[in-house]
Amino acid sequence: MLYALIAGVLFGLYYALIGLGLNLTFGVLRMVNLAHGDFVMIGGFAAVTAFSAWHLHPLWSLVLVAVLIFAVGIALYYVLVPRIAATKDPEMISLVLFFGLSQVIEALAVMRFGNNAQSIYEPVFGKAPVSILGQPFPAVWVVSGLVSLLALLLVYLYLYRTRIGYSTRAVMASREEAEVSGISVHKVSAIAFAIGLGLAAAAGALAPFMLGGITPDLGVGLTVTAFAVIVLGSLGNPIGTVAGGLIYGIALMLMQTYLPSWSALLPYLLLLLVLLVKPSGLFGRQVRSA
Amino acid sequence: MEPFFAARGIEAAYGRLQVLWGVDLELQQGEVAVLLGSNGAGKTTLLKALMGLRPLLQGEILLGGQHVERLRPDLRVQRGIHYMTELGVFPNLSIDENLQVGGFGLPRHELRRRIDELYETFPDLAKLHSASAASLSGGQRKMLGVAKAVVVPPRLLLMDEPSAGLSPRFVGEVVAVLRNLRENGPTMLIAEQNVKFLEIADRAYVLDGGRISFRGTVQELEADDAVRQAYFGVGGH
Ligand SMILES: Nc1ncnc2c1ncn2[C@@H]1O[C@H](COP(=O)(O)OP(=O)(O)OP(=O)(O)O)[C@@H](O)[C@H]1O
Ligand SMILES: [Mg+2]
Repeated sequence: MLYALIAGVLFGLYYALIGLGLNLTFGVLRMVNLAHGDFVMIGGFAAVTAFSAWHLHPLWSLVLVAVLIFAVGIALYYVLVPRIAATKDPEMISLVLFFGLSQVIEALAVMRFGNNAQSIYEPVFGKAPVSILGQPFPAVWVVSGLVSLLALLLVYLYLYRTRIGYSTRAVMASREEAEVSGISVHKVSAIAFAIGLGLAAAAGALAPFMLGGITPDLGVGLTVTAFAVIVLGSLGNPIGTVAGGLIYGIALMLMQTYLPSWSALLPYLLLLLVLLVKPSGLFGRQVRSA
Repeated sequence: MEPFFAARGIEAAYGRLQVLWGVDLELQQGEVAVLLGSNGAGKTTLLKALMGLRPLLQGEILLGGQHVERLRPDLRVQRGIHYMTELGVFPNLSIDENLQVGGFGLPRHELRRRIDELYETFPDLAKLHSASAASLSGGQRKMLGVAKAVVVPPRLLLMDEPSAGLSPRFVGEVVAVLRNLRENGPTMLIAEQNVKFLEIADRAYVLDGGRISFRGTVQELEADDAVRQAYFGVGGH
């Protein structure tokens, strides 16, 4: 039980990292990036490839791929979002476009990497387990948990301690109010969107250890998981995502311990539960105006 | 004389529903105008059009002789046109954060100085500076809205129903705050249904079904029978 709880927290931090980027994007754009999971997958393949080709340590890959995908995110934002926003039905169009993007990324990944699972099998974080409260855990889980925590902290500092972070939260509250307050809404949103993708890719670099093998079709499932995590913690609320991730991680570990055959259903079950019991999410305000 | 602010022939629509028809407005520098109009008359739409939040079908907007009708809203803010919306604040940010966002373009030290000045003007806000704006009362929220709109001193301040949702006592307070604000002068255009705001105005416009049905000084307005019936009959003096 204690073991499952601690493992749940470690994985929970990791799932929070996966969810956070999606929630940032949703927060500023009111669009669900259906290709979010595919950027995790890209990060995963990048880490695996960099390791097999140059023996690059996955933590270096993590930093590099996060920065690279951040840059891609900025470009992608300016290519896609202003066009989507100019259409009659931006929400619908965004779903279609991001779904298409997801399909394209997946197809390209199949062409490049094939359908077989790839991973990093060497114990790059050491063989010795790390003991927490007397329980032994694989070092890589602990590292991933800590790295995720660090990333979450950095995002927190960005949003709550910098002026551009305040502006980002202002855009989350109301794009219109933000615009007439003189905020360059596109600039702020592009950065948030790119951070979101960067976080996904960073999480991806840890995926070979946390999720097992990387396959091109990993994206769709991860998007659903990320969605479950952020709905749990309430859409548009970055802090709630951390709580959502922790609940998800702990629930997952408990299920894998006690009801292993059901654990694949977890994201769907949690989504249903939240939507039935408290649609605004566990940390949502009563009504959020879109 | 070329007016400080002029909007000419403004037309705007929601889809096929046109709601503004050839609206003309002019303001001299430092003047305060109240834009009266009943619900649905088009006041909010007009302010949004002036701000660039609604596209124009027709018309031009000049500030200090320069065209601004093609600029994005945030660039109009840079030109000195500020807009206090009905919401007016970011409910998810603290008071201090709201003011910092209001001063988006200012250098850090200058921003701090300005905010401290505003805290002297609005001691209530100073006390609550780290409270979230959502926790404020309606009146306090309007005060914050006004403060946020003037962190960077505007050249033209547009306001959408500053009295909305306020009890008469708070309306009085908002009017008092705006009277003070007048002293060192941004030009103001206040969309309102509450005639109390005429106390601080030089000039009035009445918007009716998307058209200007009256324009003139406040004295002329008060002498106009049709307007008196429509606004002073119900609203009270
Ligand atoms: N988003 C919208 N979509 C379609 N029609 C709208 C929209 N907003 C306003 N309208 C219509 O435009 C007209 C003018 O509305 P507007 O909000 O500008 O009036 P107002 O004078 O500000 O009213 P109020 O005093 O109630 O705030 C109304 O007929 C309204 O129904
Ligand atoms: Mg209105």
